[in-house]
Amino acid sequence: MNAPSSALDMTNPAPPVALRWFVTIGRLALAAVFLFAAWTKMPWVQPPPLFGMQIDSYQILGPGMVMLVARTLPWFELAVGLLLLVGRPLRFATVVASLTVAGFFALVVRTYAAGLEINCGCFGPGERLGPATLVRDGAFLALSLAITAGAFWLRRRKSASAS
Amino acid sequence: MAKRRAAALWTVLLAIGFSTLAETPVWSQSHGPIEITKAYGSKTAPITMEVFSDFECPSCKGLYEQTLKMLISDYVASGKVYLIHRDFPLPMHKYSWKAARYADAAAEIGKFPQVEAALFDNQSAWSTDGSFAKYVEQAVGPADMTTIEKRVSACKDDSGVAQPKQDEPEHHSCPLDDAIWHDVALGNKVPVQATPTFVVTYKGKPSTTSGVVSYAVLKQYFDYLLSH
Repeated sequence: MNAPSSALDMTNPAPPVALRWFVTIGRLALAAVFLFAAWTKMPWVQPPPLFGMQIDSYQILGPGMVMLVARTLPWFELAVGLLLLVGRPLRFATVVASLTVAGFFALVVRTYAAGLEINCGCFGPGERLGPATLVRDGAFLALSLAITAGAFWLRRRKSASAS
Repeated sequence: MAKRRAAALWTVLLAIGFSTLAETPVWSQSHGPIEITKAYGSKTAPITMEVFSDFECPSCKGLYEQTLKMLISDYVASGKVYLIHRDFPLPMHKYSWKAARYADAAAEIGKFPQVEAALFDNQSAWSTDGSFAKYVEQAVGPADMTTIEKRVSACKDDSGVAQPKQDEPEHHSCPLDDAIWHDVALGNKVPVQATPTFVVTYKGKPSTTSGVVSYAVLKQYFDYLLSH
């Protein structure tokens, strides 16, 4: 009987149990974040023009693009959330999630650095974009990158153990 | 039988009471002493927009210049929107409280729109040295300026202080400060965390947004509300 392998044990090609659990729990946590974010922006929760005003306050898009993003972003977040929930294909799901979270993080950092005092709009209206937003989104990005790295690592270990 | 009738009567009265409350946003239930003259349009308009603003804040100028001016000439003029200015001078701005006093004094004589435009249009010029009075005078003329200065002179001259203390007894003789504190208190109820923040109320349901929103996007939101 083999003892559970350490996550850092590179000599054992079998995927480590701890890493598998970390990726699974992290993926589900990130899925919950995406699904909740999508829910708060759905047309029956928040009218698209109201969400559009929050997007517009970032001052990066023209009015036409603002409304396009306001109507499509909730569905995109829902799709990413479901993809993470299902977890297949895992690497694709985690890469899409990481790119999305990285984009959001870059946007809030840019906005905060520009001194714009606006609502974040991340999880519905009313949340001011401030240092707490940066810390929270930074933590989401770190988690997302970690599970993406974990997903690739698991794949490599699986391939190695198969060969 | 009498008990049943009484119970039915109470149910109807309570229902009427609750429906009245639901139609009125919290921050509009008590009106400031000079609210009417700091508002644009008809109070019976279906949409109420309350803008918590600071005359020295660049984003507030941006919202006024890019969005509110057009809103006033369009949705306010056509009776669709009732626009209320709320003072929310931030302590970090040295002259915004004093500018608000002048604007509120002008509101008392029906000259608020002219003074608001003058303060925002020339913000970059007076925000460095506090010389807003000359722009106010250009907007209202010497006679009205004398009236405004007379009202402002009732307030304590706290040069160098961005925001007077609310509890100081001197301010009992300054209704202008009372009006500003009233708006600040309403803003704290929202809560206003940054300026500009605006609360749009339609059918008793408020929604809050902060920052500069373009007129084209705001217009879409109003059209959406009016069609639902």
